Amino acid sequence: MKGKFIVIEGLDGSGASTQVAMLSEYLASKGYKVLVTKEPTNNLVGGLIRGQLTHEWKSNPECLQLLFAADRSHHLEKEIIPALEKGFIVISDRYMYSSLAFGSIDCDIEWLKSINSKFLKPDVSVILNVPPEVSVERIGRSRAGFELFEDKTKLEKVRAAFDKLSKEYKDVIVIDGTLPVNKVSMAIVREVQKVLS
Amino acid sequence: MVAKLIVFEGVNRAGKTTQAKLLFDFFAAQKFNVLYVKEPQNKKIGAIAKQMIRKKNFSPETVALAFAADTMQHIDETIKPALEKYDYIIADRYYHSAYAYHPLMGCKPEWIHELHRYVLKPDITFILDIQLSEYKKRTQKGEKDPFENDEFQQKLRVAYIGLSKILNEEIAIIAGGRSIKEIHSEIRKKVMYL
Repeated sequence: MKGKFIVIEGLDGSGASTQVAMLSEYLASKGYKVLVTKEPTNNLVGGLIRGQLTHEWKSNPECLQLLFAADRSHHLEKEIIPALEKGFIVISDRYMYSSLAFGSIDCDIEWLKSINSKFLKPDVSVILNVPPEVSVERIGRSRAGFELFEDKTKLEKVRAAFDKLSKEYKDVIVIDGTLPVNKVSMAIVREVQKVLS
Repeated sequence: MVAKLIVFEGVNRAGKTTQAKLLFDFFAAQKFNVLYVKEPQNKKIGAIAKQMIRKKNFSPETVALAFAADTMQHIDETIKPALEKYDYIIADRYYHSAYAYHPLMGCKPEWIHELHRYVLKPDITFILDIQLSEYKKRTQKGEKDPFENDEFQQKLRVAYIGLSKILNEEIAIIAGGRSIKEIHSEIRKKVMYL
């Protein structure tokens, strides 16, 4: 495919959305065609997932993870892959590794890998690493209600899972999310440049 | 007492709903507590999955994941809680439909199997088997779901018959071309000692 697929992952409050916006601005300024997107999506299934994250309804963890995968599958075929084929750089705010890391609190990670096994591997996956305290503090500052995964001990587990995944998958890079915003952005840009040149 | 889970599967118009309801009435008449359930569900995930099929612009993998999510939710929200309260649960379609349909739509069978790793297995599944000629005879004009064509129904029939080789569980293939009464009495005999 002509384009490049970049994903930014991390705990809530890790700065992923900020960094997605900064990276997109940088790439656009360099003349690249950029598509910014996120998961869960705003499509049919994405709406169901959001309802669970904000406690409007509940299912068992396996069902939730199948929904995440269904949403991702649709996201890929309707948005990401067509854009990549047109030569866009697609930047997604969260993707598969978030499912594996967050999902592993309640589900077998090997099962999660297998239900996600059909999906396109990104060219670069950045995990923004922040300690749970930082995550919780930043969320508290910016959001009123805590979402499903925002509990400190759980966040610690998710962080450990992200760490393991980074050792397992070659496309995954961990960047210290506690650094100043500009420094984080520079580190991301450097990684992205490697796949663009 | 844990309820016995009895599933009815098969191609369109094989008689699943008819036989499920007859068996329901049979148990109810004997004062058993019996629950009738149906997949896909009509709410939330099931409704979306059905919409995906109608719209046709979703890949087989997306559709399979949505149906699997619906099954998992059905198990968790309805079937498992009912196990303690009922003597029998009769399901009109269950995960076996996914095993039959989705590989025909292009999904890898092993992957479909993975999606269903955590399902609750039934005590027995009846696959009502009818020949294509019978399916055609029972089809009236205007009855159309997206899978209503002879070729697909024929492949589906073969897929259903093959399930007993793939799934390590109790599956009974029932000749569905006979009279409703005859089929019901065969099913009754099979559920008596579950």
